[in-house]
Amino acid sequence: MRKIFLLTIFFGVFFIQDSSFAEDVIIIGNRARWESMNPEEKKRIIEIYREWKSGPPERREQIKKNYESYRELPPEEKEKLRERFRVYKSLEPSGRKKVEEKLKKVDSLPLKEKDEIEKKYNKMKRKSENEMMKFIERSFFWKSLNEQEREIFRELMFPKD
Amino acid sequence: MNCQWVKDNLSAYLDGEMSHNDVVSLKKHVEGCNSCGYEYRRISRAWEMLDLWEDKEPPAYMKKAISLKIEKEKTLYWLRFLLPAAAVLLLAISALLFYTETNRNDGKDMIAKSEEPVLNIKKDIQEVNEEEIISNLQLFQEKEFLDSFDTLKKIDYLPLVEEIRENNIKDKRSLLEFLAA
Amino acid sequence: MTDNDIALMARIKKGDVNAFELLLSRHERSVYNLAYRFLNDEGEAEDITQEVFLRVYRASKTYNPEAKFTTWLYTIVKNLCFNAIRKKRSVSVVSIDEETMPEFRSEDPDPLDALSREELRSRVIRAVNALPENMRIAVILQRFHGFSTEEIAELMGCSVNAVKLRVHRAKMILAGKLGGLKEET
Repeated sequence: MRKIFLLTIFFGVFFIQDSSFAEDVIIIGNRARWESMNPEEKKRIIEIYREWKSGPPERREQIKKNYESYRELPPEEKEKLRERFRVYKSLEPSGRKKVEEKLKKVDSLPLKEKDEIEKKYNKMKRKSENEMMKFIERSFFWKSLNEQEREIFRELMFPKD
Repeated sequence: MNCQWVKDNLSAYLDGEMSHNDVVSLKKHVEGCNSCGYEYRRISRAWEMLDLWEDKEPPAYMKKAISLKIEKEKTLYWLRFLLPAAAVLLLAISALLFYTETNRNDGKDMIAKSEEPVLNIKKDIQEVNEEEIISNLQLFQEKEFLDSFDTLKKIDYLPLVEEIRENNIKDKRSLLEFLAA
Repeated sequence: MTDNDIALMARIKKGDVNAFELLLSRHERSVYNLAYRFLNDEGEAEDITQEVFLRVYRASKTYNPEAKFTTWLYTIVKNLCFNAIRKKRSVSVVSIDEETMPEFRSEDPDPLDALSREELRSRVIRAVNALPENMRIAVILQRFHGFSTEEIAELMGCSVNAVKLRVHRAKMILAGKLGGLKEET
């Protein structure tokens, strides 16, 4: 009985410290970051917040999910996506439209095929960039692009190369 | 002294970890040997290029964030050792709740303290849920990137989509061969 | 430096807040940059820096200077960085360590292909990031933090020769990726 009592106390204290504490720690960091921002930065964040808040709840959840997924990525993948974002942002609207059109094909896939593709991509990630480029150049997707489109996708797939 | 020995020791030479005699012989060899000279230039140039990756300034708020965490840690430390075992659980909960509340108020106090810059956006802040902003701050700072995150990730799948969709056996074989390699 | 750090730890043990702030000022930048370069992620570098100093504070109660303070401090940073990488590595993705790292094939970039400073910088970052973790940490500690081979060996818990070999192999890889590039004139 005494043992159970002591264990309850031990785990109780442990739980309080490690779960709510961990969450608090993130908030403390954020609070300090928020307070160190100048009014312009705060204003900008408030605008983004308002826009986010006025959007549909599904979109809000999606962005939260994206943030979590990004945090889980290994550093080289993060770096690649950051570079890709830089390239994507610098595209002309017509270039972005082309990318979005091509991506519709991914969206239209049934869930099973999407899973299959993700698995295959995870395997492909282990290959060197050279090997990947050779494979991409042989793919139907690549063959269907014109020179200008290839230029865009080459930069997006291997930013900085 | 042969080329292989020189190439194996170029790194030690660049780090200044060789004896004087070895340095003299290595230098002499590198000056007279094209292949080792080329290797030496390649390695030293790459090593020097790392200078391009300059230090980054840590964010200004970091010291403050660490101090706040330490304060919190201190409170928890004393709670753990000062109170009798049975009372610790109850008191820890109430102290923690109390502390969290104080902290929240502290945050508000801090905003009030630096009145000058905050006054301009005080109205804006009053109109929004500041706590929600703070909880999700990274999300708003990175919103533009996160909005495009799906698009950016899907780009990698494009060559595979076409490959899977097309029913061409020949090229499908190339995919299988590629993945099996 | 070391003596001062140890003296500061003794003051922190007695509850001297100023001593902790002083220690933080002395090492914050360096700890942050080690984590930042190793993980190439500002957010994670922030988290790790905060966690490192929290651990230093906790350890101050029982701190017993057996090794150089910086070696002890950077061992904490290194362990947290490796944990962060381990956590992320999904089970399905094959880990690339020194032994399984494929032989580097030089692509012989055209030396006449001059690049802007920003592009070169980006290539440097990518080249260092592509190094296997054990090589990467050794290179960062030696090149950016001025650690000696012996200190790195102590910090990594391996032999001096192993560190030398790692740094040597890293240099060869970096030479292959960066040695042929040059800046715009």
